[in-house]
Amino acid sequence: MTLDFSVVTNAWQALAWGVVGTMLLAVFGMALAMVIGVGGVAVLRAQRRIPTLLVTAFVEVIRNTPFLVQIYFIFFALPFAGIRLNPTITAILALGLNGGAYAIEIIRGGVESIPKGQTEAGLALGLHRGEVFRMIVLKPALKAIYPSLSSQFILLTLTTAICTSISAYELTSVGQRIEAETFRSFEVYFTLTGIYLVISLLTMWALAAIGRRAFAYPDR
Amino acid sequence: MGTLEFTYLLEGLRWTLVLTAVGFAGGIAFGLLVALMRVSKSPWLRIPAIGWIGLFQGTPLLMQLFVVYFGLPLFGFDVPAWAAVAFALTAHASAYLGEIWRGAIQAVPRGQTEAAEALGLPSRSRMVDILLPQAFKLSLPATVGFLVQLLKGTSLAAIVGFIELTRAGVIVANQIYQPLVVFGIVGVMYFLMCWPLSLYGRHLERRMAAGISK
Amino acid sequence: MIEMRNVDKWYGSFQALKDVSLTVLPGEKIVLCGPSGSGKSTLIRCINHLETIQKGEIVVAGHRLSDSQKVVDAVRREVGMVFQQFNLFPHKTVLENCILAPMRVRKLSRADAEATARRYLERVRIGNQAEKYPAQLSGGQQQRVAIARALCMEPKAMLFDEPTSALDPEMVKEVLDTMVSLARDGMTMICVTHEMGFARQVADRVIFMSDGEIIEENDPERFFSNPTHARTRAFLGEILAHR
Ligand SMILES: Nc1ncnc2c1ncn2[C@@H]1O[C@H](COP(=O)(O)OP(=O)(O)OP(=O)(O)O)[C@@H](O)[C@H]1O
Ligand SMILES: [Mg+2]
Repeated sequence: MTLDFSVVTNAWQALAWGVVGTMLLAVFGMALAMVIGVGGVAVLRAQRRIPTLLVTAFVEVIRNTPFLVQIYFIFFALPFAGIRLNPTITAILALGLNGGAYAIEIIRGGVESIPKGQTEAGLALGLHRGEVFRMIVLKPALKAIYPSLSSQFILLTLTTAICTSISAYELTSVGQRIEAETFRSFEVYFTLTGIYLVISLLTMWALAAIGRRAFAYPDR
Repeated sequence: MGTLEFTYLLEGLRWTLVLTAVGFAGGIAFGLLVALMRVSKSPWLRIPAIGWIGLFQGTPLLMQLFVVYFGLPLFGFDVPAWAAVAFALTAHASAYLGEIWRGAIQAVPRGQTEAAEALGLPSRSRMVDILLPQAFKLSLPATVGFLVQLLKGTSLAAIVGFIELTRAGVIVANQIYQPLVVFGIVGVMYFLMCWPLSLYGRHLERRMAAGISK
Repeated sequence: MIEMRNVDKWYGSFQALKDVSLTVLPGEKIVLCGPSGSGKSTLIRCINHLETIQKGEIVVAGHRLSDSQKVVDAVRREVGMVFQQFNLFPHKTVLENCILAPMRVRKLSRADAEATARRYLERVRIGNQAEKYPAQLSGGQQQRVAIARALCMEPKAMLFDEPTSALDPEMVKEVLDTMVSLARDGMTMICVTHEMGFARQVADRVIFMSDGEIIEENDPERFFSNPTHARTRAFLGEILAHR
């Protein structure tokens, strides 16, 4: 057995761009997930039967099927709906929908952790429900769930690897291209694993630092 | 889509179940080991466990599958594809379950350890008779939750080319040119396996929350 | 100023208010007391539409309450509320707590809102804490900020729901002093409180509730010295025994 890592070191530039692709997928996917999460929770809180049912069904379907099946489904479904998106945009959409289902659960928990008195105080001051949610409930709720959201972001970052299945531009698909040219499968994926590990650790560290800043107000 | 294609999907589904079962069983055995190492007082046991957990929670499952799948032959283990995938899933599960059970063991109130110490129980008995049974109960919802995650995770074997449910779906979809129908059916099949488990996990969680507030 | 006529309020099948009628004139100070669960909170929360009623009518500053958002907005602009649990917004500084609604609801400029806020914070003697977060203040200070926050909307009336009962004993006085001075300035007030000293000092009328009904109302002098109903006497006996 001989290992030859030169094939990866020679391709360091392609890999670096792959990392950029991965991070972009993760960031945009998470942004979409947050929009879906906040929107979904707003729908659930309005307590109307049909929209609540739809959101609940969405959450259950996403949480109980594999991401790979979801991304295939979206990839093949969109053209039927007359929409042509490149794989990378499709990947962001899939990541956002998937992450959104988890975000709904997390954010709902956070919102429920805010005492009712906060909402009542806002209403008594003459603010409307939407304003109360945006200006009073949201930030403390986000603070409460920031750790869960951070883990969710890391998870989403790792999930981006699966987007190679539709050839979205990210680290794993770059790796697969190198593998196809060099047949050095183990060396390639071993290196990618290391890179992903570094990405996770750095992200974790950065998110903790951001959290300390963004939610700097004292709690009690 | 005809019966032939449907049977093919069911064939794939059988492999999905096999992979899940083997990965979960292996994960339980090695996960227990990881958890015990993780809560050990000795750094020689604890630190490798921390590293093991961090490695698997900090990298994509897909990379773990690739590394094992391509690595085993390099190191002279010529095993069939399903065994390589099952091996990777086992390692993956051991890390996640180890971390879940670590949390559960540490969530057992300190008084329990102290009471056991006060009774003069040896440390082995403290763990086996007092802590583990209680931790097992505490960890049940999260363990069931991970089982769902693992079942969904087996779909990644499709990317290394192993024919389980998702890969079977890809093949059938390419044959009959009806990707939406095929992936819809595949999705429903996963859903029917995962959803009851998720509901059961939530039921356990609710029952436990009620038990604690009592 | 505030008028309730034959109000019934149900929580599901439980009736929390039974045929309640109450008239509060401008500048009047009402103290509302009664045993736990008698419906005091429910009553004052109906006035600013935090709770909806099933029968009767409520008119506040000329607005007849309904579910119409416009009416509710108008009423809430005229009526301030102070809660037992303060309910300050933890992620906003004292000053930000005070300017939020004036800017959003009254559409004041930030500068105007801040000027008003500082004036009222000064009034409740907490002007030097404007940049702190709620969690950095004592309970008594937090409740005074809550009062200032409500005043910043320049309300015509104030509702207090047991504003001192979540406070440590040594902080009760500073909050009561603030309320007394507010009363002296002619604010219309409805206070749910068991602070009988406060009632004697400022109340024009004391109202006693039990099981969702108004049982007795009188000026404080007669209310305390000569309660007519057995239930009022029993209640007063218990309150005084605790002192
Ligand atoms: N949201 C609600 N749903 C159902 N019942 C309620 C609700 N809020 C209050 N109640 C009931 O209505 C009754 C009156 O409650 P309210 O809070 O007005 O009493 P209170 O006089 O303010 O008591 P306390 O001194 O304890 O604050 C109580 O029996 C209470 O259980
Ligand atoms: Mg009350």
